[in-house]
Amino acid sequence: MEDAVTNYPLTVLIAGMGGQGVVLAGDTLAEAALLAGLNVKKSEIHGLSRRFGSVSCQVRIGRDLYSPLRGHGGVSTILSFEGYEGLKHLPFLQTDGVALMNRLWSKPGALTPAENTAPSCVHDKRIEWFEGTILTHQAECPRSLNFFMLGVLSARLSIDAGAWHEALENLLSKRSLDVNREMFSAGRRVAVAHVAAINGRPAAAPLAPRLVPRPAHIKHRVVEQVVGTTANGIG
Amino acid sequence: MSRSRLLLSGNQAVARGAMEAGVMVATSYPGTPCTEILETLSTYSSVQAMWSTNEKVAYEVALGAAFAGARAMVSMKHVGLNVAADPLFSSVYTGINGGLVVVVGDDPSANSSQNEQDSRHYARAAKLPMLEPSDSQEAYELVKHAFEMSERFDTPVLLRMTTRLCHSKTVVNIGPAPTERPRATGFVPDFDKFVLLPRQAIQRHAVIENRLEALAEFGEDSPYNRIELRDRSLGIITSGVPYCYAREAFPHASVLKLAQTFPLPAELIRQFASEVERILVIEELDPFLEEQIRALGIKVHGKEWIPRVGELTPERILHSVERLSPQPQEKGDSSIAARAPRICAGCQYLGVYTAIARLGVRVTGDIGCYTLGSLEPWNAIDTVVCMGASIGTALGMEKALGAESHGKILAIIGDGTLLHSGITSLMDLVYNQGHCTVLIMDNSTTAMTGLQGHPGNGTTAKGLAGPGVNIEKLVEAIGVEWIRIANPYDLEQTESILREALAHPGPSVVISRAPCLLLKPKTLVQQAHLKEEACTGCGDCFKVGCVAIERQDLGGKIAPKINLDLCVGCTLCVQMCPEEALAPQAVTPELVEIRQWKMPLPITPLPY
Repeated sequence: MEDAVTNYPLTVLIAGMGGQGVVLAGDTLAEAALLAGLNVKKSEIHGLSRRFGSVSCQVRIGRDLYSPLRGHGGVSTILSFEGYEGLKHLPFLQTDGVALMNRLWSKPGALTPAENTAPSCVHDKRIEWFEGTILTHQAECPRSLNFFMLGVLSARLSIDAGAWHEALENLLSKRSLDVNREMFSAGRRVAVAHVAAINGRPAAAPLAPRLVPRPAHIKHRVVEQVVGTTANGIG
Repeated sequence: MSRSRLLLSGNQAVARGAMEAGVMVATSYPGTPCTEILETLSTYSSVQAMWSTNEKVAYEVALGAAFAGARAMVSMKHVGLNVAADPLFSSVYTGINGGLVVVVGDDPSANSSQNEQDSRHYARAAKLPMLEPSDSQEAYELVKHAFEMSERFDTPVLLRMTTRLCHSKTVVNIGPAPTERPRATGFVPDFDKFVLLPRQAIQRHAVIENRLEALAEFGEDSPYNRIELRDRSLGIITSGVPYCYAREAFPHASVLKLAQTFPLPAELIRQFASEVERILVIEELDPFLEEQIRALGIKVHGKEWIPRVGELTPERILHSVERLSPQPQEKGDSSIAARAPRICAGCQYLGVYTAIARLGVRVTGDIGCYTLGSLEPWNAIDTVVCMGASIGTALGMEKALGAESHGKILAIIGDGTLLHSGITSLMDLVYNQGHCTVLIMDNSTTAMTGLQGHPGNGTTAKGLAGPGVNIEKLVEAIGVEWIRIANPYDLEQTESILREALAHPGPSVVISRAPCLLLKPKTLVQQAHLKEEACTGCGDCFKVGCVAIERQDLGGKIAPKINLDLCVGCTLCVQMCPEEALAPQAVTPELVEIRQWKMPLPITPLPY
């Protein structure tokens, strides 16, 4: 499964809600790939999204690229900032693809009482969950969730750290660069060392190597503990 | 640092290409997918970039600049070209002087539009040449090509984009900006060309027909129409973004890639047909190429397999051809509810629609953020057709339904839409002695497309401030005698003014006025708080439809849960509560500070 995300050409679908920075994350990924000397095509869907609507974009990286987007079964990696948005896009994922999802649930159509149930596809074996919302809130920069998740993704791609950091510098304002760069690095470390990251501040973990085995086993239990302590209050 | 290899959206590429081509005057009316073309152009000091009052005006301003010998460009979304169709058709007759490029953005899948029209038909109907780029690099090159074609053949040129192209970013190798500022060569009077009296018009028509023949011949040798020979058992004829899909879906097939899709290069098509065994035409929306190619006597496959409705993808094309029938659009997992766009917490529309929902009247709607009032929980809008349609359709309904309908029809329209094309209908309402009430919701901006300026707020595309139209005086000058201004954050007042307006015999206008919160955020001084013991679970607060009001189960009753990350303290829900269970509470300075960095998200319990 790791090969699916490190081999080119690859198609990353980034999904989230209006306001979460999906488009900026996609731009940064595309810029990093461009700086790494690769060909890139990126495509966005955000027409009527405004605040809280669905926003998604696809970034395609590789040599022989034609289409700016792929349809069902054509996406190699999903990077999702919100649970329902990630699950909704699973039909686009290749059978051997991987979905890197932030654990945040914001129910579509919040006018009805939230049901405490999840669609069955939540157990899809291709999904890996990350606690981006909790960690960025703990670090007091929840708006950097997009860069945290981009960091998570970066650990799976053969794009040099130098290209990533240059991309961040090119696309972010001076004011927001530091915090986002920090969260990007945090995400990158978390993708390597889940457990250490979820239990506390992730500063000690080393930078990710290019190929990362999936640490799937214990993370769910740890996550429940974290959620339990913050009760109603993500933030 | 300046780089020559950039990742540009189709819109940015068009703007960059136009700037390098020396465009001097650029006009537009904001509309997805084309808004960013003018936004990008407005950042170039060499370009006079302007938001126009509507697309027709935008077209005419650009045409005037072209008459004066400047290179000019006008851009708009597909339905905008319907508005600008009148000058479009006749400007093909007059011809131009400086180059004129008309950019139109179609929206396959109607991502953010009221229809899914295929604007390529305009090229054929208005008899002007059309170019269809397939990616940003080509968009950048074709803009320059379009200016040259325009001046060489003395005609406006249509550059047809689609949402996918406009909003996709691909690599563009840009050139240097011109060293000299663009200049206009001056207007040279030519009565037989520029004055379309009937005799001149009929002469010019003959000129157009000859011009089209020359353009078709020009297309035969165009480097942008090219044959790519690979496996000859399948030949694909395609244009625009579908070229990219076709290459992805059938990497080994031969392709005739057309950029000039009107007038078509017939000989090139015949040549391609003779080189391959079978031909498949791949295009989005209508069989525009297919029908013309069939008319040449060439046998092709096309829309019997390739879907007409909705955007294509490589996979959708492949599945449709494999199954020999058009396959439905690819959507997300349908077991998960769609995330509908929502009106912002504390927006004036919440107050307006809460009041309207109580009136029990027919409401004709219009285009803007406020179109969302047609959704739950207000269901406050009965019709939405096109920009400016609300007032005219209200008058027509009234005339058809007779005196019984008096006081029961309300037209609602935003400030930008009113000036775009609602104002003429308002004159009509007064002139034809209608009785409808018109509610003008004035938020002082073009909110839906991203806070562009318009004549109402006076801010230009270059950021210059002007006085702006005084809407009350304008309405008064038209002859409306009954005009009131409502505060949309005062529910009782808004409702009573609307009732009074509806009861008034003759036309009446209510202006609800509050700036868009994205333009001018509210200072946070208070937020709604719930006294749990006082809440009876009546649900009235939910009727406001605010995203900040979530639901919680309080011992069997469904009570509101105020999301303090979102609440701006507008007090609309407080006004709705019959039990005074919701009350405003002052916020501390610390909380205000926290709000600065907090991500405002409606978070619901974890299902997994």
